[in-house]
Amino acid sequence: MTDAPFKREQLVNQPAIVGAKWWHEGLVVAGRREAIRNVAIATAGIAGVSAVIGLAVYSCTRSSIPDVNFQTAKSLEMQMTYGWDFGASSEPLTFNGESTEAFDRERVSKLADELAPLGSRYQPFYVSTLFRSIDAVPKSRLDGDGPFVPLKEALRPILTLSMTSAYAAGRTFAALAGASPRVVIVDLPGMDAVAFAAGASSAFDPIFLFDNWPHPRGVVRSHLTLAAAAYYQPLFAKRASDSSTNKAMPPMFVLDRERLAQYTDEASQFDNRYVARMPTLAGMQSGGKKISLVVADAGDPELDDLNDDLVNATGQGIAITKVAANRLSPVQGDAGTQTGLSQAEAPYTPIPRRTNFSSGQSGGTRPLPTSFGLVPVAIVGGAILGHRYARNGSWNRAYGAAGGG
Amino acid sequence: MLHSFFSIELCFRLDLCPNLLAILSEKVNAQSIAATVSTPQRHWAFYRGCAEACYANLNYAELGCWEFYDDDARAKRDYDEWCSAMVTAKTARTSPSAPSDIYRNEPRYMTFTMAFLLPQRTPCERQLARVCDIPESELWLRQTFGRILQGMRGINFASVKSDIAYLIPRDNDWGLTRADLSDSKFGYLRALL
Repeated sequence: MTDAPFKREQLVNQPAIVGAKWWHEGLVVAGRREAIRNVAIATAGIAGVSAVIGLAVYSCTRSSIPDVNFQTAKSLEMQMTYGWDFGASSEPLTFNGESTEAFDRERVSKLADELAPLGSRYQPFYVSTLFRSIDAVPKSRLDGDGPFVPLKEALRPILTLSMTSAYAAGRTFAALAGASPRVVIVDLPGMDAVAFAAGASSAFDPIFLFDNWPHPRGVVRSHLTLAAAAYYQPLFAKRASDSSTNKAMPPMFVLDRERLAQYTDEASQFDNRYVARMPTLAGMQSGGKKISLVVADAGDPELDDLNDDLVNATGQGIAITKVAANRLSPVQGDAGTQTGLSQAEAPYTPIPRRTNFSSGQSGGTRPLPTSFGLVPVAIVGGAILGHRYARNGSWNRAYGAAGGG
Repeated sequence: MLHSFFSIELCFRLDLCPNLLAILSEKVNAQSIAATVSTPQRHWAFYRGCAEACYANLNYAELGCWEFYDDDARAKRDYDEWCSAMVTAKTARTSPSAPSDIYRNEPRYMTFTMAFLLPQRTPCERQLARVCDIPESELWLRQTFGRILQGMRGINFASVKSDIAYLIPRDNDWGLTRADLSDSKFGYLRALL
Protein backbone atom coordinates (compact mmCIF):
# COMPACT_ATOMS: atom_id res chain seq x y z
CA MET A 1 0.00 0.00 0.00
CA THR A 2 1.02 3.57 -0.39
CA ASP A 3 1.44 6.71 1.67
CA ALA A 4 0.10 8.93 -1.08
CA PRO A 5 -2.13 11.56 0.45
CA PHE A 6 -5.86 11.51 0.67
CA LYS A 7 -7.56 14.24 -1.29
CA ARG A 8 -10.75 15.86 -0.23
CA GLU A 9 -13.27 15.10 -2.91
CA GLN A 10 -16.41 16.60 -1.47
CA LEU A 11 -17.16 19.04 1.27
CA VAL A 12 -20.43 20.00 2.86
CA ASN A 13 -20.38 22.90 5.27
CA GLN A 14 -23.78 24.22 6.22
CA PRO A 15 -25.42 25.02 9.55
CA ALA A 16 -27.37 21.78 9.31
CA ILE A 17 -24.52 19.48 8.30
CA VAL A 18 -20.77 19.47 8.01
CA GLY A 19 -18.56 16.76 6.60
CA ALA A 20 -16.29 15.61 3.84
CA LYS A 21 -15.56 12.74 1.53
CA TRP A 22 -11.93 11.77 1.01
CA TRP A 23 -10.32 9.76 -1.75
CA HIS A 24 -7.09 7.88 -1.35
CA GLU A 25 -5.24 8.62 -4.57
CA GLY A 26 -2.76 5.82 -4.16
CA LEU A 27 -5.49 3.23 -4.10
CA VAL A 28 -7.31 4.37 -7.20
CA VAL A 29 -6.96 1.74 -9.88
CA ALA A 30 -4.72 2.57 -12.80
CA GLY A 31 -6.51 4.11 -15.72
CA ARG A 32 -8.94 6.06 -13.62
CA ARG A 33 -8.94 9.43 -15.30
CA GLU A 34 -11.86 11.12 -13.70
CA ALA A 35 -11.04 14.44 -12.26
CA ILE A 36 -11.42 14.61 -8.58
CA ARG A 37 -14.35 16.83 -8.05
CA ASN A 38 -14.48 19.32 -5.34
CA VAL A 39 -18.05 20.32 -4.88
CA ALA A 40 -17.69 22.50 -1.94
CA ILE A 41 -21.21 23.51 -1.19
CA ALA A 42 -20.38 26.26 1.17
CA THR A 43 -17.16 27.70 2.36
CA ALA A 44 -18.18 29.74 5.29
CA GLY A 45 -16.00 29.00 8.26
CA ILE A 46 -17.35 26.52 10.68
CA ALA A 47 -18.94 27.93 13.74
CA GLY A 48 -16.70 27.84 16.72
CA VAL A 49 -17.12 25.66 19.68
CA SER A 50 -20.70 25.94 20.83
CA ALA A 51 -20.93 28.32 23.66
CA VAL A 52 -21.39 26.83 27.06
CA ILE A 53 -21.02 30.17 28.67
CA GLY A 54 -24.02 32.40 28.72
CA LEU A 55 -25.85 35.26 30.26
CA ALA A 56 -24.53 37.89 32.53
CA VAL A 57 -20.90 38.70 31.97
CA TYR A 58 -19.28 40.82 34.56
CA SER A 59 -15.64 41.58 34.78
CA CYS A 60 -13.74 41.70 37.98
CA THR A 61 -12.85 45.29 38.67
CA ARG A 62 -10.75 44.78 41.76
CA SER A 63 -8.34 42.40 40.16
CA SER A 64 -4.65 42.77 39.80
CA ILE A 65 -4.90 39.97 37.25
CA PRO A 66 -6.52 41.80 34.38
CA ASP A 67 -7.87 38.99 32.25
CA VAL A 68 -9.88 36.97 34.74
CA ASN A 69 -13.59 37.36 34.11
CA PHE A 70 -16.51 36.05 36.02
CA GLN A 71 -19.46 34.77 34.10
CA THR A 72 -22.30 32.37 34.61
CA ALA A 73 -22.69 29.02 32.92
CA LYS A 74 -25.35 26.36 33.00
CA SER A 75 -24.84 24.29 36.12
CA LEU A 76 -25.66 20.96 34.50
CA GLU A 77 -23.31 21.57 31.60
CA MET A 78 -20.47 22.43 33.96
CA GLN A 79 -21.14 19.25 35.92
CA MET A 80 -21.23 17.16 32.76
CA THR A 81 -17.97 18.67 31.61
CA TYR A 82 -15.97 18.88 34.84
CA GLY A 83 -17.69 16.40 37.11
CA TRP A 84 -20.82 16.24 39.26
CA ASP A 85 -18.86 17.84 42.12
CA PHE A 86 -17.88 20.92 40.07
CA GLY A 87 -16.30 23.47 42.40
CA ALA A 88 -16.58 21.22 45.46
CA SER A 89 -14.45 18.24 44.61
CA SER A 90 -13.36 17.52 48.18
CA GLU A 91 -16.81 17.84 49.71
CA PRO A 92 -18.82 14.70 50.46
CA LEU A 93 -22.48 14.04 49.93
CA THR A 94 -24.42 13.37 53.13
CA PHE A 95 -26.87 10.50 53.16
CA ASN A 96 -29.14 10.69 56.18
CA GLY A 97 -31.05 7.46 56.67
CA GLU A 98 -28.50 5.20 55.03
CA SER A 99 -29.94 1.76 54.50
CA THR A 100 -28.20 -1.22 56.05
CA GLU A 101 -29.69 -3.66 53.59
CA ALA A 102 -27.53 -5.47 51.05
CA PHE A 103 -26.67 -3.24 48.12
CA ASP A 104 -25.35 -4.26 44.71
CA ARG A 105 -23.27 -1.23 43.72
CA GLU A 106 -22.71 -2.45 40.18
CA ARG A 107 -26.41 -2.60 39.59
CA VAL A 108 -26.96 1.13 39.95
CA SER A 109 -25.43 1.53 36.51
CA LYS A 110 -28.74 0.15 35.25
CA LEU A 111 -30.83 2.63 37.20
CA ALA A 112 -31.87 4.67 34.16
CA ASP A 113 -32.99 1.56 32.31
CA GLU A 114 -34.65 -0.23 35.19
CA LEU A 115 -36.66 2.80 36.29
CA ALA A 116 -37.83 3.65 32.78
CA PRO A 117 -41.58 3.60 32.18
CA LEU A 118 -42.94 0.25 31.06
CA GLY A 119 -45.37 1.71 28.54
CA SER A 120 -43.57 2.57 25.31
CA ARG A 121 -45.90 5.53 24.77
CA TYR A 122 -44.65 7.12 27.96
CA GLN A 123 -40.96 6.68 27.27
CA PRO A 124 -40.56 9.93 25.30
CA PHE A 125 -41.66 11.82 28.42
CA TYR A 126 -39.16 10.11 30.72
CA VAL A 127 -36.41 12.44 31.95
CA SER A 128 -33.54 10.25 33.07
CA THR A 129 -30.93 12.97 33.60
CA LEU A 130 -30.49 12.28 37.31
CA PHE A 131 -30.21 8.53 36.90
CA ARG A 132 -27.64 8.91 34.14
CA SER A 133 -25.34 10.86 36.44
CA ILE A 134 -24.39 7.59 38.14
CA ASP A 135 -21.76 6.47 35.67
CA ALA A 136 -20.87 9.81 34.12
CA VAL A 137 -17.21 10.76 34.00
CA PRO A 138 -15.99 14.30 33.41
CA LYS A 139 -14.50 15.30 30.09
CA SER A 140 -11.73 17.00 32.01
CA ARG A 141 -10.83 18.06 35.53
CA LEU A 142 -9.80 21.49 36.60
CA ASP A 143 -6.54 22.44 38.25
CA GLY A 144 -6.72 21.81 41.97
CA ASP A 145 -9.59 19.32 41.75
CA GLY A 146 -9.04 16.13 43.66
CA PRO A 147 -9.33 12.67 42.11
CA PHE A 148 -12.71 12.13 40.55
CA VAL A 149 -15.03 9.82 42.46
CA PRO A 150 -17.94 8.61 40.32
CA LEU A 151 -21.36 9.04 41.87
CA LYS A 152 -21.70 5.30 41.71
CA GLU A 153 -18.99 5.07 44.34
CA ALA A 154 -20.29 7.95 46.45
CA LEU A 155 -23.89 6.78 46.48
CA ARG A 156 -25.49 5.16 49.53
CA PRO A 157 -29.06 3.82 49.36
CA ILE A 158 -31.34 5.35 51.97
CA LEU A 159 -34.58 4.40 53.68
CA THR A 160 -36.02 7.09 55.90
CA LEU A 161 -39.18 7.19 57.97
CA SER A 162 -40.75 9.60 55.52
CA MET A 163 -39.94 7.21 52.67
CA THR A 164 -41.58 4.35 54.54
CA SER A 165 -44.70 6.45 55.02
CA ALA A 166 -44.67 7.59 51.40
CA TYR A 167 -44.29 4.01 50.18
CA ALA A 168 -47.28 2.92 52.29
CA ALA A 169 -49.27 5.89 50.99
CA GLY A 170 -48.38 4.91 47.43
CA ARG A 171 -49.57 1.37 47.98
CA THR A 172 -52.81 2.64 49.45
CA PHE A 173 -53.30 5.03 46.57
CA ALA A 174 -52.75 2.24 44.06
CA ALA A 175 -55.32 0.08 45.81
CA LEU A 176 -57.85 2.87 46.06
CA ALA A 177 -57.39 4.70 42.81
CA GLY A 178 -55.86 2.14 40.48
CA ALA A 179 -59.20 1.11 39.01
CA SER A 180 -60.17 4.68 38.16
CA PRO A 181 -58.43 5.92 34.98
CA ARG A 182 -56.51 9.07 35.66
CA VAL A 183 -53.23 10.82 35.07
CA VAL A 184 -51.31 11.17 38.31
CA ILE A 185 -48.71 13.80 39.13
CA VAL A 186 -46.70 13.07 42.26
CA ASP A 187 -45.08 16.23 43.61
CA LEU A 188 -43.31 15.27 46.82
CA PRO A 189 -39.78 15.77 48.11
CA GLY A 190 -37.58 13.68 45.82
CA MET A 191 -36.93 10.67 48.04
CA ASP A 192 -40.59 10.51 49.11
CA ALA A 193 -41.72 10.89 45.52
CA VAL A 194 -39.64 7.87 44.55
CA ALA A 195 -41.00 5.90 47.52
CA PHE A 196 -44.60 6.84 46.69
CA ALA A 197 -44.07 5.81 43.07
CA ALA A 198 -42.57 2.51 44.18
CA GLY A 199 -45.60 1.85 46.38
CA ALA A 200 -48.03 2.74 43.60
CA SER A 201 -46.19 0.95 40.83
CA SER A 202 -48.53 -2.04 40.89
CA ALA A 203 -51.30 0.09 39.41
CA PHE A 204 -49.52 3.05 37.79
CA ASP A 205 -46.59 3.44 35.44
CA PRO A 206 -44.11 5.90 37.04
CA ILE A 207 -42.49 8.36 34.66
CA PHE A 208 -39.68 10.09 36.50
CA LEU A 209 -38.95 13.70 35.60
CA PHE A 210 -35.71 14.35 37.50
CA ASP A 211 -33.68 16.74 35.39
CA ASN A 212 -30.58 17.61 37.38
CA TRP A 213 -27.43 16.15 38.91
CA PRO A 214 -26.55 15.99 42.59
CA HIS A 215 -23.97 18.34 44.02
CA PRO A 216 -22.43 18.61 47.52
CA ARG A 217 -23.81 22.13 47.83
CA GLY A 218 -26.90 21.59 45.71
CA VAL A 219 -30.03 23.47 46.76
CA VAL A 220 -31.94 20.54 45.33
CA ARG A 221 -30.83 17.54 47.38
CA SER A 222 -31.13 15.22 44.46
CA HIS A 223 -28.51 12.86 45.84
CA LEU A 224 -31.20 11.79 48.29
CA THR A 225 -33.60 11.21 45.41
CA LEU A 226 -30.93 9.13 43.74
CA ALA A 227 -30.27 7.25 46.96
CA ALA A 228 -33.96 6.47 47.33
CA ALA A 229 -34.09 5.31 43.72
CA ALA A 230 -31.14 3.00 44.41
CA TYR A 231 -33.00 1.57 47.39
CA TYR A 232 -36.13 0.79 45.37
CA GLN A 233 -34.29 -0.21 42.21
CA PRO A 234 -34.69 -3.99 42.81
CA LEU A 235 -38.45 -3.49 43.19
CA PHE A 236 -38.71 -1.62 39.90
CA ALA A 237 -36.44 -4.10 38.13
CA LYS A 238 -38.48 -7.06 39.32
CA ARG A 239 -41.67 -5.39 38.21
CA ALA A 240 -40.22 -4.66 34.77
CA SER A 241 -39.00 -8.20 34.25
CA ASP A 242 -42.14 -9.89 35.56
CA SER A 243 -44.11 -11.10 32.55
CA SER A 244 -47.36 -10.81 34.48
CA THR A 245 -46.92 -7.06 35.01
CA ASN A 246 -49.52 -4.98 33.19
CA LYS A 247 -47.62 -2.82 30.69
CA ALA A 248 -50.60 -0.58 29.98
CA MET A 249 -51.09 1.13 33.31
CA PRO A 250 -52.10 4.79 33.64
CA PRO A 251 -49.21 7.25 33.81
CA MET A 252 -47.82 8.62 37.05
CA PHE A 253 -45.46 11.57 36.55
CA VAL A 254 -43.02 11.80 39.42
CA LEU A 255 -41.48 15.14 40.39
CA ASP A 256 -39.14 16.38 43.07
CA ARG A 257 -40.91 19.10 45.03
CA GLU A 258 -37.54 20.68 45.82
CA ARG A 259 -36.78 21.44 42.18
CA LEU A 260 -37.55 25.15 42.58
CA ALA A 261 -35.87 25.43 45.99
CA GLN A 262 -34.71 28.75 47.37
CA TYR A 263 -31.32 29.74 46.03
CA THR A 264 -29.85 32.71 47.80
CA ASP A 265 -26.07 32.43 48.06
CA GLU A 266 -23.93 31.54 45.10
CA ALA A 267 -20.84 31.18 47.28
CA SER A 268 -22.23 28.49 49.56
CA GLN A 269 -24.93 26.96 47.39
CA PHE A 270 -25.00 25.31 44.00
CA ASP A 271 -27.95 26.08 41.77
CA ASN A 272 -29.03 22.68 40.49
CA ARG A 273 -32.66 23.71 40.19
CA TYR A 274 -34.78 22.81 37.19
CA VAL A 275 -38.35 23.02 36.01
CA ALA A 276 -40.82 20.20 35.51
CA ARG A 277 -40.82 19.04 31.91
CA MET A 278 -44.35 17.70 31.75
CA PRO A 279 -46.08 16.61 28.57
CA THR A 280 -49.19 18.52 27.57
CA LEU A 281 -51.77 17.10 29.94
CA ALA A 282 -54.64 17.52 27.53
CA GLY A 283 -52.84 15.10 25.25
CA MET A 284 -52.87 12.35 27.87
CA GLN A 285 -56.50 11.41 27.21
CA SER A 286 -56.07 7.68 27.51
CA GLY A 287 -55.22 8.16 31.14
CA GLY A 288 -58.76 9.37 31.67
CA LYS A 289 -60.19 12.85 31.82
CA LYS A 290 -58.96 13.31 35.32
CA ILE A 291 -55.73 14.45 36.84
CA SER A 292 -54.74 13.72 40.41
CA LEU A 293 -52.03 15.85 41.94
CA VAL A 294 -50.40 14.09 44.87
CA VAL A 295 -48.86 16.45 47.41
CA ALA A 296 -47.69 15.94 50.96
CA ASP A 297 -50.46 17.91 52.61
CA ALA A 298 -53.88 19.08 51.46
CA GLY A 299 -52.80 22.69 51.92
CA ASP A 300 -49.87 22.43 49.50
CA PRO A 301 -50.50 24.22 46.20
CA GLU A 302 -48.94 23.07 42.95
CA LEU A 303 -45.53 24.60 42.33
CA ASP A 304 -45.34 27.55 39.97
CA ASP A 305 -44.02 25.56 37.02
CA LEU A 306 -47.11 23.32 37.07
CA ASN A 307 -49.63 26.13 37.35
CA ASP A 308 -50.02 26.81 33.63
CA ASP A 309 -50.39 23.11 32.80
CA LEU A 310 -53.10 22.59 35.41
CA VAL A 311 -54.91 25.82 34.53
CA ASN A 312 -54.93 24.83 30.87
CA ALA A 313 -56.16 21.33 31.70
CA THR A 314 -59.02 22.78 33.70
CA GLY A 315 -59.90 25.01 30.77
CA GLN A 316 -60.14 21.95 28.58
CA GLY A 317 -62.64 20.27 30.85
CA ILE A 318 -60.28 17.95 32.65
CA ALA A 319 -61.19 17.42 36.29
CA ILE A 320 -58.38 17.86 38.77
CA THR A 321 -58.19 16.45 42.25
CA LYS A 322 -55.61 16.99 44.89
CA VAL A 323 -54.52 14.00 46.95
CA ALA A 324 -52.89 14.53 50.32
CA ALA A 325 -50.33 11.78 50.83
CA ASN A 326 -50.41 12.22 54.60
CA ARG A 327 -54.09 11.28 54.65
CA LEU A 328 -53.71 8.05 52.75
CA SER A 329 -54.11 5.39 55.40
CA PRO A 330 -53.52 1.70 54.75
CA VAL A 331 -56.41 -0.07 53.05
CA GLN A 332 -58.75 -1.89 55.40
CA GLY A 333 -60.96 -3.67 52.93
CA ASP A 334 -63.79 -2.54 50.70
CA ALA A 335 -65.53 -0.39 53.27
CA GLY A 336 -62.29 1.28 54.16
CA THR A 337 -61.46 1.77 50.52
CA GLN A 338 -64.09 4.39 49.92
CA THR A 339 -63.42 6.12 53.19
CA GLY A 340 -59.67 6.20 52.64
CA LEU A 341 -59.78 7.87 49.25
CA SER A 342 -62.42 10.42 50.10
CA GLN A 343 -60.43 11.45 53.14
CA ALA A 344 -57.37 12.14 51.07
CA GLU A 345 -58.75 13.38 47.76
CA ALA A 346 -60.65 16.56 46.99
CA PRO A 347 -61.56 18.46 43.82
CA TYR A 348 -59.07 21.16 43.01
CA THR A 349 -59.25 24.24 40.82
CA PRO A 350 -55.88 25.85 40.17
CA ILE A 351 -55.87 29.63 40.19
CA PRO A 352 -53.79 31.26 37.44
CA ARG A 353 -50.91 33.18 38.93
CA ARG A 354 -48.08 35.10 37.38
CA THR A 355 -44.68 34.06 38.64
CA ASN A 356 -41.20 33.49 37.26
CA PHE A 357 -42.46 30.14 36.01
CA SER A 358 -46.12 30.74 35.13
CA SER A 359 -47.92 33.14 32.84
CA GLY A 360 -50.90 33.89 35.04
CA GLN A 361 -53.44 33.16 32.31
CA SER A 362 -54.95 30.21 30.57
CA GLY A 363 -53.08 29.51 27.36
CA GLY A 364 -50.42 32.06 28.20
CA THR A 365 -46.77 31.81 27.29
CA ARG A 366 -44.70 30.81 30.22
CA PRO A 367 -41.80 33.08 31.07
CA LEU A 368 -38.28 31.76 30.88
CA PRO A 369 -36.83 31.93 34.35
CA THR A 370 -33.76 34.10 34.63
CA SER A 371 -30.77 33.47 36.90
CA PHE A 372 -31.89 29.89 37.19
CA GLY A 373 -29.80 26.72 37.06
CA LEU A 374 -26.62 28.75 36.61
CA VAL A 375 -23.25 28.66 38.29
CA PRO A 376 -20.67 31.47 38.56
CA VAL A 377 -17.40 30.57 36.87
CA ALA A 378 -13.97 32.15 36.54
CA ILE A 379 -12.67 32.45 32.99
CA VAL A 380 -9.44 33.47 31.34
CA GLY A 381 -9.28 33.91 27.61
CA GLY A 382 -12.35 31.76 27.04
CA ALA A 383 -11.03 28.90 29.15
CA ILE A 384 -12.83 28.02 32.34
CA LEU A 385 -10.60 28.11 35.39
CA GLY A 386 -13.23 26.78 37.73
CA HIS A 387 -16.15 27.64 39.95
CA ARG A 388 -15.91 31.26 40.96
CA TYR A 389 -15.93 30.36 44.63
CA ALA A 390 -13.98 27.12 44.54
CA ARG A 391 -11.74 26.94 47.56
CA ASN A 392 -8.85 25.72 45.47
CA GLY A 393 -9.20 28.56 42.98
CA SER A 394 -6.13 30.77 42.80
CA TRP A 395 -8.32 33.55 41.42
CA ASN A 396 -10.07 33.62 44.79
CA ARG A 397 -6.81 33.87 46.67
CA ALA A 398 -5.64 36.57 44.29
CA TYR A 399 -8.70 38.62 45.13
CA GLY A 400 -8.74 37.64 48.77
CA ALA A 401 -12.42 37.14 48.35
CA ALA A 402 -14.96 34.43 48.66
CA GLY A 403 -18.63 34.78 49.27
CA GLY A 404 -20.93 37.57 48.43
CA GLY A 405 -20.86 39.00 45.01
CA MET B 1 -10.20 -4.57 -6.95
CA LEU B 2 -13.01 -5.91 -4.81
CA HIS B 3 -14.34 -3.80 -1.99
CA SER B 4 -15.81 -4.01 1.46
CA PHE B 5 -17.92 -1.37 3.13
CA PHE B 6 -18.03 -0.30 6.74
CA SER B 7 -20.15 2.41 8.34
CA ILE B 8 -21.32 3.48 11.74
CA GLU B 9 -23.75 6.21 12.70
CA LEU B 10 -24.81 7.27 16.16
CA CYS B 11 -27.53 9.65 17.27
CA PHE B 12 -26.93 11.48 20.55
CA ARG B 13 -29.08 13.68 22.75
CA LEU B 14 -27.54 17.11 22.66
CA ASP B 15 -28.67 18.11 26.13
CA LEU B 16 -27.10 15.07 27.76
CA CYS B 17 -23.71 15.50 26.13
CA PRO B 18 -23.47 19.24 25.56
CA ASN B 19 -19.81 19.14 24.61
CA LEU B 20 -19.90 16.41 22.00
CA LEU B 21 -21.14 18.56 19.15
CA ALA B 22 -18.38 21.06 19.82
CA ILE B 23 -15.74 18.35 20.07
CA LEU B 24 -16.71 16.64 16.84
CA SER B 25 -17.29 19.92 15.05
CA GLU B 26 -13.81 21.03 15.99
CA LYS B 27 -12.30 17.78 14.71
CA VAL B 28 -14.21 17.91 11.43
CA ASN B 29 -13.22 21.51 11.03
CA ALA B 30 -9.53 20.79 11.55
CA GLN B 31 -9.53 17.71 9.35
CA SER B 32 -11.87 18.51 6.51
CA ILE B 33 -12.35 22.23 6.21
CA ALA B 34 -8.95 23.55 7.05
CA ALA B 35 -7.21 21.16 4.65
CA THR B 36 -7.78 19.64 1.23
CA VAL B 37 -5.24 16.84 1.56
CA SER B 38 -4.44 14.41 4.32
CA THR B 39 -2.16 11.55 5.12
CA PRO B 40 -3.07 8.12 6.48
CA GLN B 41 -1.60 9.16 9.80
CA ARG B 42 -3.73 12.30 9.99
CA HIS B 43 -6.76 10.31 8.95
CA TRP B 44 -6.08 7.76 11.64
CA ALA B 45 -5.74 10.43 14.30
CA PHE B 46 -8.94 12.12 13.13
CA TYR B 47 -11.08 9.00 13.14
CA ARG B 48 -9.57 7.74 16.35
CA GLY B 49 -10.41 11.03 18.05
CA CYS B 50 -13.96 10.97 16.70
CA ALA B 51 -14.48 7.35 17.73
CA GLU B 52 -13.16 8.06 21.22
CA ALA B 53 -15.45 11.07 21.62
CA CYS B 54 -18.42 8.96 20.54
CA TYR B 55 -17.38 6.13 22.83
CA ALA B 56 -17.07 8.47 25.80
CA ASN B 57 -20.65 9.62 25.22
CA LEU B 58 -22.12 6.29 24.20
CA ASN B 59 -24.47 6.31 27.19
CA TYR B 60 -26.21 9.29 25.64
CA ALA B 61 -26.68 7.74 22.22
CA GLU B 62 -30.28 6.71 21.70
CA LEU B 63 -30.19 5.45 18.13
CA GLY B 64 -27.59 4.05 15.82
CA CYS B 65 -26.69 1.73 13.00
CA TRP B 66 -23.58 0.02 11.69
CA GLU B 67 -22.83 -2.14 8.69
CA PHE B 68 -20.03 -4.20 7.27
CA TYR B 69 -20.30 -5.87 3.86
CA ASP B 70 -17.68 -7.73 1.89
CA ASP B 71 -19.91 -8.00 -1.17
CA ASP B 72 -18.22 -5.78 -3.77
CA ALA B 73 -21.32 -4.58 -5.61
CA ARG B 74 -23.23 -3.87 -2.46
CA ALA B 75 -20.22 -2.24 -0.84
CA LYS B 76 -19.81 0.26 -3.69
CA ARG B 77 -23.53 0.90 -3.94
CA ASP B 78 -23.96 1.48 -0.21
CA TYR B 79 -20.92 3.68 -0.03
CA ASP B 80 -22.26 5.82 -2.87
CA GLU B 81 -25.57 6.05 -1.05
CA TRP B 82 -23.93 7.28 2.12
CA CYS B 83 -21.90 9.82 0.13
CA SER B 84 -25.02 10.96 -1.64
CA ALA B 85 -26.82 11.34 1.68
CA MET B 86 -24.08 13.68 2.83
CA VAL B 87 -23.88 15.77 -0.32
CA THR B 88 -27.63 16.16 -0.64
CA ALA B 89 -27.92 16.75 3.10
CA LYS B 90 -30.82 14.33 2.92
CA THR B 91 -31.23 13.87 6.64
CA ALA B 92 -30.34 17.37 7.74
CA ARG B 93 -32.88 20.01 8.61
CA THR B 94 -33.75 22.74 6.14
CA SER B 95 -34.32 25.34 8.82
CA PRO B 96 -33.24 25.87 12.41
CA SER B 97 -35.21 23.91 14.96
CA ALA B 98 -37.40 25.98 17.22
CA PRO B 99 -35.85 26.68 20.60
CA SER B 100 -36.45 23.81 22.96
CA ASP B 101 -39.23 24.53 25.47
CA ILE B 102 -37.69 24.08 28.89
CA TYR B 103 -41.09 23.11 30.28
CA ARG B 104 -41.40 20.16 27.90
CA ASN B 105 -39.22 17.18 27.32
CA GLU B 106 -38.24 18.12 23.78
CA PRO B 107 -34.61 17.21 23.44
CA ARG B 108 -32.56 17.98 20.37
CA TYR B 109 -30.33 15.42 18.72
CA MET B 110 -27.17 15.16 16.66
CA THR B 111 -25.89 12.38 14.47
CA PHE B 112 -22.33 11.51 13.54
CA THR B 113 -21.60 9.23 10.61
CA MET B 114 -18.41 7.55 9.45
CA ALA B 115 -18.23 5.31 6.37
CA PHE B 116 -15.35 3.60 4.59
CA LEU B 117 -14.73 1.87 1.28
CA LEU B 118 -11.96 -0.67 1.70
CA PRO B 119 -10.10 -2.93 -0.70
CA GLN B 120 -10.72 -6.53 0.24
CA ARG B 121 -8.22 -8.97 1.67
CA THR B 122 -5.99 -6.42 3.30
CA PRO B 123 -5.07 -7.01 6.95
CA CYS B 124 -7.03 -3.89 7.86
CA GLU B 125 -10.17 -5.06 6.08
CA ARG B 126 -9.91 -8.50 7.65
CA GLN B 127 -9.44 -7.03 11.10
CA LEU B 128 -12.49 -4.85 10.66
CA ALA B 129 -14.42 -7.89 9.50
CA ARG B 130 -13.47 -9.66 12.72
CA VAL B 131 -14.49 -6.68 14.84
CA CYS B 132 -17.85 -6.64 13.07
CA ASP B 133 -18.44 -10.35 13.40
CA ILE B 134 -21.27 -9.92 15.88
CA PRO B 135 -23.96 -12.48 16.76
CA GLU B 136 -27.43 -11.56 15.52
CA SER B 137 -28.75 -11.16 19.06
CA GLU B 138 -26.12 -8.55 19.88
CA LEU B 139 -26.30 -6.36 16.80
CA TRP B 140 -28.04 -3.45 18.49
CA LEU B 141 -26.51 -3.61 21.92
CA ARG B 142 -24.84 -0.46 23.15
CA GLN B 143 -21.78 -2.47 24.05
CA THR B 144 -21.55 -3.72 20.47
CA PHE B 145 -21.34 -0.16 19.23
CA GLY B 146 -18.67 0.39 21.86
CA ARG B 147 -16.71 -2.60 20.63
CA ILE B 148 -16.86 -1.34 17.05
CA LEU B 149 -15.84 2.19 18.01
CA GLN B 150 -12.90 0.81 19.90
CA GLY B 151 -12.06 -1.48 17.01
CA MET B 152 -11.76 1.51 14.71
CA ARG B 153 -8.39 2.33 16.20
CA GLY B 154 -7.06 -0.64 14.25
CA ILE B 155 -7.93 0.83 10.86
CA ASN B 156 -4.87 1.33 8.69
CA PHE B 157 -5.65 4.22 6.37
CA ALA B 158 -3.03 3.12 3.92
CA SER B 159 -5.65 0.48 3.10
CA VAL B 160 -8.73 2.69 2.95
CA LYS B 161 -9.77 3.74 -0.53
CA SER B 162 -12.31 6.37 0.40
CA ASP B 163 -14.02 7.63 3.50
CA ILE B 164 -16.64 10.10 4.63
CA ALA B 165 -17.43 11.62 7.98
CA TYR B 166 -20.22 14.04 8.63
CA LEU B 167 -21.92 15.68 11.53
CA ILE B 168 -25.56 16.76 11.75
CA PRO B 169 -25.98 19.54 12.69
CA ARG B 170 -22.97 21.80 12.46
CA ASP B 171 -24.62 24.57 14.47
CA ASN B 172 -26.31 24.00 17.80
CA ASP B 173 -29.63 25.59 16.87
CA TRP B 174 -30.10 23.24 13.92
CA GLY B 175 -30.39 20.17 16.14
CA LEU B 176 -32.69 17.38 15.06
CA THR B 177 -36.03 16.98 16.80
CA ARG B 178 -37.90 13.83 17.72
CA ALA B 179 -40.22 14.57 14.82
CA ASP B 180 -37.23 14.70 12.46
CA LEU B 181 -35.98 11.36 13.71
CA SER B 182 -39.36 9.71 13.34
CA ASP B 183 -39.35 10.55 9.62
CA SER B 184 -38.88 7.57 7.32
CA LYS B 185 -35.56 8.93 6.06
CA PHE B 186 -34.15 8.03 9.48
CA GLY B 187 -35.79 4.62 9.39
CA TYR B 188 -32.41 2.91 9.30
CA LEU B 189 -31.58 4.11 12.80
CA ARG B 190 -32.63 1.80 15.59
CA ALA B 191 -32.79 2.18 19.34
CA LEU B 192 -29.67 0.99 21.12
CA LEU B 193 -30.39 -1.73 23.65
